[in-house]
Amino acid sequence: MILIKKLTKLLAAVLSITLLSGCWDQNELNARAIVIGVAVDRGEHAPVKITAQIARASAIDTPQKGKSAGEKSYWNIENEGQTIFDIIRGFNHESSRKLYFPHNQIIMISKELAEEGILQYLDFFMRDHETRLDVDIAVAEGKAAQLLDVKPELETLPAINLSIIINSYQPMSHIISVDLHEFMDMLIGYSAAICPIVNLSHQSGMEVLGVTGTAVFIRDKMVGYLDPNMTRGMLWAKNKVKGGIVSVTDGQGQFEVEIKKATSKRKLEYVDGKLKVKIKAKLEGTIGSHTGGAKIQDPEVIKKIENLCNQRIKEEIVVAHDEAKRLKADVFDYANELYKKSPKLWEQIKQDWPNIFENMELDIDASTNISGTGRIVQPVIPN
Amino acid sequence: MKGFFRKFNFTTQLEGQKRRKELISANVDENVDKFKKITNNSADFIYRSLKFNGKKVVLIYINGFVDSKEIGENVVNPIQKNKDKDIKLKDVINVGNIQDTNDFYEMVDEVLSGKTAVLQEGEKLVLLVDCFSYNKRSVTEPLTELVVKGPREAFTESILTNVALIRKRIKSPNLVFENYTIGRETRTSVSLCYLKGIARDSLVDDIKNKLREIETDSIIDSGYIEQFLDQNPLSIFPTISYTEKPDVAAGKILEGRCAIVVDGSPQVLTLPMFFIEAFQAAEDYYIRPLYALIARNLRMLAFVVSVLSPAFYVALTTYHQELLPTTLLFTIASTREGLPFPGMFEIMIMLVVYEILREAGIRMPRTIGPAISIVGALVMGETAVNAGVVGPAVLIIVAFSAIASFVVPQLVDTGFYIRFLLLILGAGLGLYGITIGILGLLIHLSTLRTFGVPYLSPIAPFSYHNNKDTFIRVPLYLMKRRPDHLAGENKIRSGFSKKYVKEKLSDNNYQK
Repeated sequence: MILIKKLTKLLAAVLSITLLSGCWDQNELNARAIVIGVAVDRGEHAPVKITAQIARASAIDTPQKGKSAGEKSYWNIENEGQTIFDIIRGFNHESSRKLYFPHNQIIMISKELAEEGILQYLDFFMRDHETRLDVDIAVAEGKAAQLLDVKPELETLPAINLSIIINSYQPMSHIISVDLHEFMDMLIGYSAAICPIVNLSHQSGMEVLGVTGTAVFIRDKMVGYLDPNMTRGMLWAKNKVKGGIVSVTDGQGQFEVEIKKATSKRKLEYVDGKLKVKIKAKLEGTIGSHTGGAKIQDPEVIKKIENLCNQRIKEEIVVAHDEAKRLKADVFDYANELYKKSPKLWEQIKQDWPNIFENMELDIDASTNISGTGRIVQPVIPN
Repeated sequence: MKGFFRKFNFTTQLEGQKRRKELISANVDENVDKFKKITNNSADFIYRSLKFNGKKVVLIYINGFVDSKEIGENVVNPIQKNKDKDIKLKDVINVGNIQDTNDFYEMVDEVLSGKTAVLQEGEKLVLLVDCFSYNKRSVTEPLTELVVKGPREAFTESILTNVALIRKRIKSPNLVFENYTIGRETRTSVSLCYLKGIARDSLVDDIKNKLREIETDSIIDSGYIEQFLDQNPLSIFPTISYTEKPDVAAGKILEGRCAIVVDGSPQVLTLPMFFIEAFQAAEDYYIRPLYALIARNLRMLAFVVSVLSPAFYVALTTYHQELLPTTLLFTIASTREGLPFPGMFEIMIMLVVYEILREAGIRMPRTIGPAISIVGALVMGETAVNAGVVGPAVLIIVAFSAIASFVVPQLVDTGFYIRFLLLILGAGLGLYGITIGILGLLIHLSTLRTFGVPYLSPIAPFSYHNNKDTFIRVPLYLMKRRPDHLAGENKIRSGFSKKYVKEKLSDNNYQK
């Protein structure tokens, strides 16, 4: 009797452990098609066309197999339909393996669709349990699908190549990368959403991928873009400059100042229906190259370069603000900051915000400290 | 007659409790006839008749148990050449260890275990002379527990040697050996060894009782005793430890454990055993503490890796592909491409193949060893991958898991069970299953007791003072007390003052 009771308890425990759990998704690796990139375009026969890039495991060269020549390492599968979910389910008719999204690196949406509003395309990726929120979001100039077909020279897979290019924005701070989670946050907030724009250009017969700027959204519709310079201006205002080069010229030669450390502080004040923003940018850098013959060991020359840098930083910030004001898009997160500071105040000025943003006052204070000149001080043949 | 014998043996093996006693007759020939009858006229007994002062004397011994040169020079010769009429037989024999008894069955027992009985006409006492000499293996280096730094002696199959090896290391008068004869037919000598005062009395009594209760026909190896004493025979964890090295046995006795030496076995049992003991190597105490810490934690890591890696591999590649870094996923996916079996089955095959190879490696004669190695390593491994039967990733996992399992030799079989258990759970339920498996093992481990003490002690229940030899092996002068869960009333290990320790650990120590 006791044994039966014990066994019943054990059985109950084992059954609840196995049957009440949520993990029943056993799937062998070679039964999955690993999606690494998604491009959303307008379809020819239906409203939406999706191109999904699937990594072909058999063709990826590993040290063990060596390079398999001629075989494409990816497969771009296309389908058209009414909605994203509809199309993705449809892929299962075309592919022998079930599409697997967690390793998706990038979602690209063509500019054409982005200008009409992109939320309807992203909703599936936000909602589904298998997709991940750390996937990069980008707007493609022209057709998004063609970007997934550019064979990279160094990487094996185009989507991974794209993702690496977008994420390597630190060296210049001229471009940004935004993942789906950040993008959702921006859409939820009161400021404007932004994401990088990727472009395919042809240079001397070669296909060259590049990030050409930052797309600016009002609600979920793309309204314009910031070029790389403006993007850095925006990053200065948001204290997000990580590196890069500030190049200035004194009329005789060019100084390229490499950013070692860049910080900025800002202060928002709303007084008498007017928004005043004070930005204090601080740059610590070294001279990376000089094309003239300036006597750099002279403190006066250093001072001059520092002043030129200050001016250049100010310019960048101002240009970014001008363009943002023109687009009526608050890409600097001012609205969110005001809301966080005082939700009550934000409730009062919410209606008038585009106006307030347009008429905001900007006060920039930049200071540069050149802390080094590299291996040499002055050019080897000075003036 | 058979019934009589069974009864006889049974009673004598209960040490001195219900021993049947029969007196020795004054007639030598009567005694010899009785002896021959009891031993069924077995051919290995030698009966040697001599004359001593005109009276008949008979020596009885077993051929091969006795040094014939010694018996000739020190027993036979003095008896035959004696001319002194007043001297007693006992005083003629030139051997150190001589006892006498009037009990016939005691004489039989002693002759069977190697002594020489000297029966004399007209005497009701028999002399038992110890000329024992047996062709035994000499003390060599251990075959299993190897060390770089530390003593290299190992136990042999002779209980006399083994007891002496322990005594050589602990010369305390408190070191007690208690002898038992266990096994109706084999009549094996078993010696229980402990340090009085350092081993807890209740533990010693418990083990004594358990040894007395053993009712079996044979004890051939210490493994027999281990099975009779094991209180958790259904558990996958060993609760009795064994060692081949006298220094290890001495170390364990000094911590308050008991050792059991069994004649004919080079493995000495030490008990009780705790889980942490499997990770404590002899060398940990001979090398400097810092490296002991690293080595011990490495061992623990290796054990965990060894039991977990196959399960993790299967769980990650069949359930949680999203947890793998993208590049690694491609690498694994490209090796899995075109393989006929599911990952779980593949790793299962290779694990079983490995277990078979291991078994073959232990059992096979040494001369064909290289052949098996070639077949095992090249044919099974390399070719299986090239032929596309198993993936290289699986081979790496299995090989690593196998190598790592030998880092903790006492838990090789335990590791085997855990590995397969977790593998099946991991293949059936993913990481969730592995978590359940580990939790189940932890529950089992914490309910397990070895001779009344929690198996996981001193980690659980935890106390700082008892944890000086677990994850961290502190310097010996900081181990001031014996672990509480083991030691009896004598708990003091080293009497260094705080001042000594402070000076020892201070920077300007070298100036003195």
